[in-house]
Amino acid sequence: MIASTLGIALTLRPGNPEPFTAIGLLNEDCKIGEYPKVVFNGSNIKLCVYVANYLGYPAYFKVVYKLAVTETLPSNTTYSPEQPLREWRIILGHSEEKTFPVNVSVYTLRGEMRIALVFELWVYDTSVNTWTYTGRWTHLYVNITV
Amino acid sequence: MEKFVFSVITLLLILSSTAILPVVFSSDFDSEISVLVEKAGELYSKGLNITVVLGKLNRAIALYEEGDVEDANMLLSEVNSLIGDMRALADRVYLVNMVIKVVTILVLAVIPLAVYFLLPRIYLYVWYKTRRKWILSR
Repeated sequence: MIASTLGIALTLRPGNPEPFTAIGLLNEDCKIGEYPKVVFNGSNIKLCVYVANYLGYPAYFKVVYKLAVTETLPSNTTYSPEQPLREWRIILGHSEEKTFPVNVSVYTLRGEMRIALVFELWVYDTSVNTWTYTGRWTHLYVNITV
Repeated sequence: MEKFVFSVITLLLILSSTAILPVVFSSDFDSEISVLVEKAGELYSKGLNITVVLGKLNRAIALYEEGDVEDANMLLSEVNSLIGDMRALADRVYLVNMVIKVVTILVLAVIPLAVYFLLPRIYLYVWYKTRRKWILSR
């Protein structure tokens, strides 16, 4: 009786009870840890970005790269007001995830020596035909040296 | 003075980074891609495997980024026709999946009843069967 009830419940359960997206930042070997801490002003650094889609349907994403300071970091509801420097677009099916290497330029921002490399995750909303900030972002603080 | 030098370098870098921004995606391209992704989502919800469709769409994006707009658009047309072909199958696949689901639920629902009614009978049948050659003696 218990096995039968459990089996029926599992068969009838909703496909994706808790939809979510995810973004993560990895080092140049696409592994966690050993991130650059000090970067030359105007240099490029290699990192990896991880994106996952668990929305329950395929979605069109873009990862937006920005340089920011503490005051201009994004939040769960608002994106960073800083200028986008690069974008990567990707389509992911449900329960699909992808890690891809990125090469980003880093430089001092308004004379600040400690800046954040911000990667925001946006999704294309077909109902309004525009990009919508998912509220997911990741960042890495680096110290700029000349 | 140091701040001024940094500001100048920053300004130059911002200008240069703007110049090296790979490709500016047109909103039309994004819109076209999103429509196809939505159509692919409909197929997915009906149980079809859309890995090939998404792979081609990602390839189209890569081509667009490389500046090969013509090939990217060709690939989008190909995806559009592929989705059209898959749509013809979608209803049948959905129906088959629903039938499988209903049958699974019915089988699962019948298990407790079957166990309740059949298990004692099967047990008795096996019990008698294994003992049919027994000879009773005082």
